[in-house]
Amino acid sequence: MVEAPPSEFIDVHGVKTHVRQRGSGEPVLILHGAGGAGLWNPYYEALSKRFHLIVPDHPGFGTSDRPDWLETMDDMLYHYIDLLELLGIPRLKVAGTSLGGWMAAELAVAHPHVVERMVVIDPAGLKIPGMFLPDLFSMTEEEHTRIIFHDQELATKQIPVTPSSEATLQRIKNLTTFARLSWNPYLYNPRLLRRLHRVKAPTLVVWGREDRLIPIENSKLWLEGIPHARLETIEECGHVPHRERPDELTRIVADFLSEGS
Amino acid sequence: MEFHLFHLMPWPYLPDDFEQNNPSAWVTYSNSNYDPAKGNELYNRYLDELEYAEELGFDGVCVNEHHQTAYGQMPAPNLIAAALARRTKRITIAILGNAVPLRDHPLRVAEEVAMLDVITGGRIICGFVRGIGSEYFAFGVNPVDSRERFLEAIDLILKAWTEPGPFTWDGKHYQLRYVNVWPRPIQKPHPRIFVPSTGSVETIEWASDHKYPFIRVYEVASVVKALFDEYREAAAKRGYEAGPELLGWMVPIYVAETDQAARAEAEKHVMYLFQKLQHRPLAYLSPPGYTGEASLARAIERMGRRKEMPHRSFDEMQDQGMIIFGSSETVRQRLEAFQKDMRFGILVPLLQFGSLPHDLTVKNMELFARNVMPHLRPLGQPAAASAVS
Repeated sequence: MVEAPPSEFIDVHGVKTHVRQRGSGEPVLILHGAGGAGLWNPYYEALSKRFHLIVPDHPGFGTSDRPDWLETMDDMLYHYIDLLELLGIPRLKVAGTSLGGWMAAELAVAHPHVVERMVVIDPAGLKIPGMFLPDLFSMTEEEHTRIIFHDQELATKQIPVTPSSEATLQRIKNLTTFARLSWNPYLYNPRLLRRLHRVKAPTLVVWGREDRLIPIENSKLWLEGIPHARLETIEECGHVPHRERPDELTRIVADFLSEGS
Repeated sequence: MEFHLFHLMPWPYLPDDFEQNNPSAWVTYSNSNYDPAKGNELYNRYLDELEYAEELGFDGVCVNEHHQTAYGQMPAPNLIAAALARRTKRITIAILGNAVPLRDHPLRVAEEVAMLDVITGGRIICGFVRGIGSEYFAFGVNPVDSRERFLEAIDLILKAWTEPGPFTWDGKHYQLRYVNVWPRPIQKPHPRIFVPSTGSVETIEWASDHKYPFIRVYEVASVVKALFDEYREAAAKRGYEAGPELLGWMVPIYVAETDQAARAEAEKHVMYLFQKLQHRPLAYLSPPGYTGEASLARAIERMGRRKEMPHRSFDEMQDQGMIIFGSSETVRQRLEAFQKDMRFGILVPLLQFGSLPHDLTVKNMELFARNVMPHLRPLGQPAAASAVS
């Protein structure tokens, strides 16, 4: 594992926000999923060779504060607009996974001038009406891990035998903020589809073919909502391509984000 | 000592291999397994049992609220209370409780409980609960908002009962231009409040703020005692002594002619409660945000213990005071000893549990009322009402 860039804590109007940055070139904002930004991983490291990569913990995740006012996705978006203002970056490329993909799309809908190009990876945010999505909130940590991986041998290696109480508390913190945003409606915003026409940024939708949490069938809604978007599929891969197929994901994301530059 | 007979109205028809083949008796166990014809028999049987409590001399009966589960057939406890309201004349009817955070409209609770209180001439005890974790899966209400909605809804309901309307309510979760509940309750200033709870730090603090009786559902007696101690300490900090009248214990009890007969008749029926009706994923008990930060560390510790609950043996449960089974003499002695140690003044016996059939339930109720209740009656008298200086 490559050494992670140093942690920065940026005060975003009273919210201590944990950010890691590495690389030079055009800025790319990484929006993480419900499990948190996690450790600095090969996907981040590889992207940082080509871009100025900015990897924050969302408010209420990881080591960022959870402000009392954080209730909805809107609150999250205003936080990011504030953060980008503080960083002096008015416009940038965005890549988000799962919850982070949903957040990227909401950002591109509400603030289209901010998002230059966008990649959404196995995104939450849209759901085929009536489809049951497996309930992460009812799962043990092991079940949670198993459902987001296609390769179960790889999943087995990710499951801690006895998680420390710090790790358990961190997991509860992440889950609590995730619940705040997405308990019900679960993993989607019923208003998002009709608003997606506002997305002006060139958009790539990436999906693990074997995603069992948010099945790839849902990609058709993204292509319907954003007619100029295209879909890239990663074979033999579940819900978290950056953990299961980091090399392929990096190539796809980096190539797309480099286009038009 | 007050005696409030509790009933859960369980579904007793789960198959023998239920827990091997189903992940949960809660939320996801298909209602295609519910047979309305059997349900009709059950409701009438269970209501008969509750009504019989009046004849046997209990002080009250208790109903409660659970959703989408074989555990209990009372998603709408106020309806069961209404069914009891005109079939009983003397006893109190405790609703333990209305799960107010699950309701979009707390005023509906204010209205229904006020109606019941007026119809019964003031025999309603109003329990307020948050609802256990699984209700948040069943109802879609965000567990992160649970405690805030609980506290705000109760403030709103109590104000609606006690202050002249109309008034305007601008809360965080509820906003109403006109609050003007008709009818108002007959008890003054409002119906007696009970707080049934698993005993989170936050709930004990809040209940002790208001001197609301805290009722702990079945749990290892030493844990219940520790929670009662917490309540007493919280009360002392607030300058008063929490007497037995503020502490209640709900516990499954079975009385038979001998200790051996008690076990032989009812062991499998109480194991049905713990092994089948309590069967569910651990995560259902504590969805994210449901447990306050002050209780979180304790909850993590408790989850380890919870894991063992369905696997606990009959003997362990007996030894730990999770259940109290035996002859009249045994049950009397054990309850006296527990009372002396735990100092509660409200006993909430669960005399039907799991798959216990009607004839045994009636026998249990009669033996308890005749041979146990009179002996315990003098225990747990209220503390002197003087404030601690």
